[in-house]
Amino acid sequence: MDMERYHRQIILPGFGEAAQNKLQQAKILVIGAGGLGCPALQYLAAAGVGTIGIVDYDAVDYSNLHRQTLYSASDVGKLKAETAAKKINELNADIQIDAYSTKLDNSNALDIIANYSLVLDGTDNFATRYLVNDACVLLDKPLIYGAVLRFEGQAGVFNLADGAGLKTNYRDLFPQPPLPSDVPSCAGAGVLGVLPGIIGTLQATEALKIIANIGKPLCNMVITYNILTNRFYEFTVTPCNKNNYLVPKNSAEFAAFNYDWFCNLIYNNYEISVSEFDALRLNESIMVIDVREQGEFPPIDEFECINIPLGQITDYSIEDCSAENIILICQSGKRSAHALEIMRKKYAARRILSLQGGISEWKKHNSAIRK
Amino acid sequence: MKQHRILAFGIIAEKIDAAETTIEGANDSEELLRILYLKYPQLSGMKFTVSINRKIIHGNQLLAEGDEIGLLPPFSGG
Repeated sequence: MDMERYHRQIILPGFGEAAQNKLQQAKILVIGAGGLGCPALQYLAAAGVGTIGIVDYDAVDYSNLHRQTLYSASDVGKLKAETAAKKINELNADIQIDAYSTKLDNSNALDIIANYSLVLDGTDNFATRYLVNDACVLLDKPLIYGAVLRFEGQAGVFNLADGAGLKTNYRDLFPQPPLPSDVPSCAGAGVLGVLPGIIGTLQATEALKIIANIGKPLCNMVITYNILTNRFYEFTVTPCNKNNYLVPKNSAEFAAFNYDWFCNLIYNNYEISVSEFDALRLNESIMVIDVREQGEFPPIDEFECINIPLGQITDYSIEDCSAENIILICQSGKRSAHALEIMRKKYAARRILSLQGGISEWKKHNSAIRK
Repeated sequence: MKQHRILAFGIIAEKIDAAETTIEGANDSEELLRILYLKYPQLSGMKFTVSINRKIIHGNQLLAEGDEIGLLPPFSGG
């Protein structure tokens, strides 16, 4: 053990050589060598984590440099996993670094993650977040979560048992992925470089605490931090039992689970309640399409809608429709859900929703409405 | 009438243009959401997690006077 290099942390009360040994034995996988991954990798390597894996299939882009501080201008165009590995090897040549310049998916996630004792999520899309989460639940690995948007970030620790033995995971925090049309693109939303710097360092902090067995890790907790207001909030994550059926139970189910489908096409993510529908009707930018057959009872007098029967939906174009929200309705919500699937495949970027429970449900709640 | 302080985060705070707001007249969390959607129709269809007094809830929960509600959307960026 390099006593001189790690002297300043070894002398900390509650740390000592014992903790430093634990860091040396530890194997951490950092998924994503971007805004969150870069600071995390630097601090984990500096602290002496013995084995660090880096997964990233992307190459360094010029617009990454304002926040991904492991890279310099001369690295633009080079693969991130390899470049990050090289940089942290220069920082600390005594640790083992594994670079995976590969896209993590159902076919390789379990094999890669199995080699490590702890996983750090530095990814930038929901499909991969759910995939990494499920792999960690299946393999029983703690997962350190982090995410950012503009001036705010979140961090937390999943799949680590607390004193009572309770373990929660990402699906307990966010059982449903957001609608793709509601997710700002990485390029479009913007972020101040310091924000992932802080959140990524928070993630590394949690990793070090867990391995060294010091302090109180964010077990079953998520914190949010806003860099503009300096406000930190801590939330307790509780189990969401009704979603447990969605988590793959074994490697075969994991390999078969379509994460892109889950995030993009599963229709009940696009269903809205009567309350949400009524709220949207007060908003100008909607178009309501009734997919029942012509002349079906009861007629709709209470609000404007156009009637395009389900059989004609495939050929119906909404390209000239400027409405922000397209809401599909039918008698019970079944046909509109079907229409939704058809339209979503054609118009993935549009906000297309289906009324849950249909006109039956709506009429029950709105027996006295006039237009 | 019961009043509840609502903390908004991420894209929800952006959509309602505020980090905090107040909802009146809600006795349980489902009622609170109904009133919230009417006050801020732009939130309809959005997926977010609700907390009561900094604890995540799933499903309908009764609200007491003074309970603080959080609206947490998923963040994607990394």
